[in-house]
Amino acid sequence: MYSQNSTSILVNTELAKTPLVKILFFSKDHLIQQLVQNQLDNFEGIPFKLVSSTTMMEFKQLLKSLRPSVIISDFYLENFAGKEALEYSKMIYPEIPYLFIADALCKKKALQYLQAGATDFIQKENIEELPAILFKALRQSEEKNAIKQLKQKKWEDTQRFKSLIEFSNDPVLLYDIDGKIGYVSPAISRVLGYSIQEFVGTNVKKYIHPEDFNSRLLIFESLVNNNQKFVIIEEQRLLHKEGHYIWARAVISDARLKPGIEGFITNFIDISDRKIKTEALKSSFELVKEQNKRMLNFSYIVSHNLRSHSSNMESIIGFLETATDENEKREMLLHLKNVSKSLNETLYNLNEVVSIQSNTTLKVEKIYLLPFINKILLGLSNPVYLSKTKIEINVPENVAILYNKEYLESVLHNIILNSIKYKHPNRNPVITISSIFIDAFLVVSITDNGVGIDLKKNKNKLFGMYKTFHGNKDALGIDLFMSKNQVEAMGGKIEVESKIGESTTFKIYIKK
Amino acid sequence: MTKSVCIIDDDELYKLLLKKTIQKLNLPVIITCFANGKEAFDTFLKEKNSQENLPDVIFLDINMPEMDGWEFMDAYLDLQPTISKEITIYIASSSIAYQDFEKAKKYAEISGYIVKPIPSDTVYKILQIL
Repeated sequence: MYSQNSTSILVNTELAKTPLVKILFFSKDHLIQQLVQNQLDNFEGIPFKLVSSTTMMEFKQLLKSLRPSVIISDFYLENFAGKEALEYSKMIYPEIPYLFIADALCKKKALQYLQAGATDFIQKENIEELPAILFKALRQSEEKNAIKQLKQKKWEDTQRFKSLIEFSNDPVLLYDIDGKIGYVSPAISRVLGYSIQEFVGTNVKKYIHPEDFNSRLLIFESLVNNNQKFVIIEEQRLLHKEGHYIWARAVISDARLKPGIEGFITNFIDISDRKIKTEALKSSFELVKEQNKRMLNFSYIVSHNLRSHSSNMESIIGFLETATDENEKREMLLHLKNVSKSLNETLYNLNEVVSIQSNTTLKVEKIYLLPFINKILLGLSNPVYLSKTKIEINVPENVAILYNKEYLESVLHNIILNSIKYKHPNRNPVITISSIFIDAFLVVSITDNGVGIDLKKNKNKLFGMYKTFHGNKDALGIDLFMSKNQVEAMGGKIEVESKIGESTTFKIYIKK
Repeated sequence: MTKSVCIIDDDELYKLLLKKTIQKLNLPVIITCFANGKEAFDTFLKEKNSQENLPDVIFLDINMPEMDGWEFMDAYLDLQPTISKEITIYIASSSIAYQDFEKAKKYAEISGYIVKPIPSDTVYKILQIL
C-alpha cells in the first residue's frame, strides 16, 4: 500500500493570484493516480495541489483538514467505499464538486451516483477530458458559491434592516393616502398599548386627538401637495388603548414612489414625560410671576399707604417743635393721635393681606352653598330692609364646596353689601345670586341693577388697596382688595362685568 | 402780588398741615383745596376764562378717589389750550415708588415731584419764583 502526496505547482506570473486548486484524490489504484497526475500536469496555468488518500479514514481526515476545492475519486472501491465517501462529503461540504473516474461498464450506476450528488463521471478511456471537466466543475462551483454568498448577504441585510425597525423603541408605521395602516412595528404596543394585529388595518385618523386633527391634516396636506420629502409634527396627542392620550412628536415621510412601500411612513416618539415636565415648569413660572407681581404690588401699597401716615407725622412733629402757643400744641397732639390710630389700622390691614397671601395651610370644610348664602343674608337683613332690596337666589340645594368658611363669608358679604351700597338712585336694588359649574370651577355670580362701574377707567383700581372711585364717603377701598386676595389664596379668581347705569356682575371662581 | 395756591388731595389732615405751613410763611397767598381731581377739574372748567379764579400753582396728589392725579393731568392737558393762565403743577405725594417718579417725568407740564411732607422752604422757593 502506498500513499503519495505530490504537489506540482505551475507558476505563471500572470496567474499568480489564481487561488490554489486543492484536489483530494481517493483511490487505491496506482495506475489511476498516475493517469490523473499525467492529465493534471497538462492542466496549464492553474496552480494545484493533489493530495491522495487510500483509506476511508484517511479520506475523511483529509476532507476536513484540507477543505479541497474538488474531489476526484475512483469509482471502484472496496465495500462500496466510493458511495460512502460521496455521501459523507455531500453531508459535510455539499458545495465541493465530486468527480468519479470510471469505465464504460458503470453507466447504469452513474445516474444513481449523480442523483446522490456526484458532479460528473470521467471514463478511463477518455481521461484526457479530465482537465476540461475539472475546469467546468470548478467554475460551476465557484458561480454557485458566489450566488449563495450574495443571497446570504441579501438575507443578512434584510434581516438587519428589519431588526433595526423591529427592535427600535419608537414605533414606525406605514399607511396609504387615506390613512389605512399596512404595517406597524412592535414598539406600538409599548407606546400605545395596541398589538400589531389590532393596529394593522385600522385608520391613523382614529388615533389623533380631535383638537389636533385639523392642524395635523394641514401639515399632511402640505406633504402631499408640495412635493416635500417629509414633514414634522412637533406635538400631537395620540389615543392610547386604555383611553387616555399621550403626547407624541412625529415625522411623516412621503414614500409613495418607493417600490415596496408606496405609501406614507410615520415614525413617532413619546414626548409625554417631556411635555409634563414643561407644563410643570410653565405653571411654576406662572406662579412665581404671580407672586412677584403681588410682591411688587404689596411694596407699592406699603410705599403709598404707610408713607402717607409717616409724612403727616413728620409734619406734625415739625409744628410741635416750633410751636409756642399751647393751643397749637394741643391741636397738633390730637392730630398725632389720629394719625397713629390710622397707621395702626393700615398696619393691621396689611398684616391681614400678608396672612392671606402666605397662608398655605388654610382650614377648609364642606359648605352647602344655599344655606350658607341664606345665613349671610340674615346678617345683612338690616341694610337689605332699609334699601328695599329684592334678592333672588338660583343656587341648587345640593351644591357643596370645600372652602375656608371665613373667607367665603367675607367675600360674599362684601360683594352683596357693595351691590346695596352702590344702588341706582332711581330704583330699588335687585340682586341675583346664581351658581354654575364651568370646567374646574364652581362660578358664583352676583348681579345687581346698581349704578355700574366704568371698567375701562377703573378696572385696575377696583381691587386695589385703598382705591376708591365712587367718591362715596364710607368707601374704604379695602374690602374688595381683601376679597380678591382671599379668593386667589383659595386657587380661584374674581371677575367683574358692568354696564354703567345698568348693572354689575361679580363672578367668584371656586375651585372644585 | 397775591399768589393763588391750589391743593388737590383727599387727605384732610395733610391739607390742614400744608395750609398751616404756607400761612406761617407770611406771604400774600390765597389757598384753595379740592378733595380729588374731579372736583378741581370741574371748577377749572367752569373758571377757565377767569384769570383770578385760576391758581398759579397746584400741589397735586396721585392717589385719590373718583379722579386720581394722573387722570386729572390727562383731563387738564385737554383743557390747557383753552385756558388763559399759565399754571405751574407739582406732584406732591407720599409715594416713593419708582413707577410714580418715572410716570411724572413723562408729563412735560409737571414741574417737579415733591415727596410729602413738603418742607416749608420748598414751598417758599416755589412761591418766590412764580
